[in-house]
Amino acid sequence: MSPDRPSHPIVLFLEKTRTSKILWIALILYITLYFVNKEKTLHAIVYGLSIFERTFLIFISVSLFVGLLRVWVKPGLIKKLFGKEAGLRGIVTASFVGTLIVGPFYLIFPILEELLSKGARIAAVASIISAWAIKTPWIPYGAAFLGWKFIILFNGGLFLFSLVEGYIIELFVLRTRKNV
Amino acid sequence: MNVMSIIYFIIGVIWIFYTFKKDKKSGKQAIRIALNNFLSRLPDIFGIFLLLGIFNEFVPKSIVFKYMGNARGAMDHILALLFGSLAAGPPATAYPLGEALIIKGAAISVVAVFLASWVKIGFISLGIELKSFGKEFVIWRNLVGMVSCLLIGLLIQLFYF
Repeated sequence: MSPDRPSHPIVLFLEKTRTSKILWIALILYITLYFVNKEKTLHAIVYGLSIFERTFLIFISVSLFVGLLRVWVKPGLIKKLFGKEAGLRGIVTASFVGTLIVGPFYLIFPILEELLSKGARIAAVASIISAWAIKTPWIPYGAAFLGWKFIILFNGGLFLFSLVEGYIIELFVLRTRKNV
Repeated sequence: MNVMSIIYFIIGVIWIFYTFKKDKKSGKQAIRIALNNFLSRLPDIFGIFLLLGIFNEFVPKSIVFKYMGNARGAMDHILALLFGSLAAGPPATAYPLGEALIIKGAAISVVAVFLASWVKIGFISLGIELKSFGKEFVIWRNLVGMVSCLLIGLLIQLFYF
């Protein structure tokens, strides 16, 4: 499914709609639940659409960035920043990048795929995902509920673990792939 | 719609215009890749949002209180891990819930595990993660992530007082 294949975007969209298990499971659930509780089902649709609306700009932006990365960024740069040769510095950079990302992570996956295909190591991508759990813009909000001490320990822990997690995940993934 | 997403969007649009100005062919290519990427992911992403709607409406938050209202033991940490991984949604919902649990008498380390798995692990989006990264990566990322969530609980237990 290379997006570079010159099939028409609408054809691609229809094909993806036909084969999207997640979408069909959701629709079947909705039809079933509609008979169980009509009112709640309608509320659920409204809630789902409201998240869609809230994240729509991020969704579009991520798609734009995927296109821009493909055109602008040479594999050499990604290798230098996030490849094996970048060493520990690459992982630290990855964790910092992760803390800056906002939005649900299933929206940013395509950017990470792009990084992998351009030579980023698995550990770097795993560290980005791990550090993404730190929602930097939400830190003051969290502190208002749980206190600064909790929030600093909590997010500090998330950051430190994200550095280590990258390496561990990469080690396990490579080992599993070798054995398969 | 928060400020960050608007900033993202503006940067993306300006960058696209700049690309066009510099080289029309690259600009067109970037737009085509972006459009393909957007349309090919739309069905899955929309499906996720619909599932989140069901989750929010049909799984009442009171379940979390019922099982974790007075949680302090080892098993409670595992339960918090499962609840947090199942739960999905913006951190705006997670933090007030965490505070409410502490007030109800849950141990602070249980709340830490719950919040950590809320932000790190998402069972609902596993399908999309699988499509992007493949089985090995997803299994190990989530298992290692879950261990980290428990360790964060331990960290809070040791240093928060």
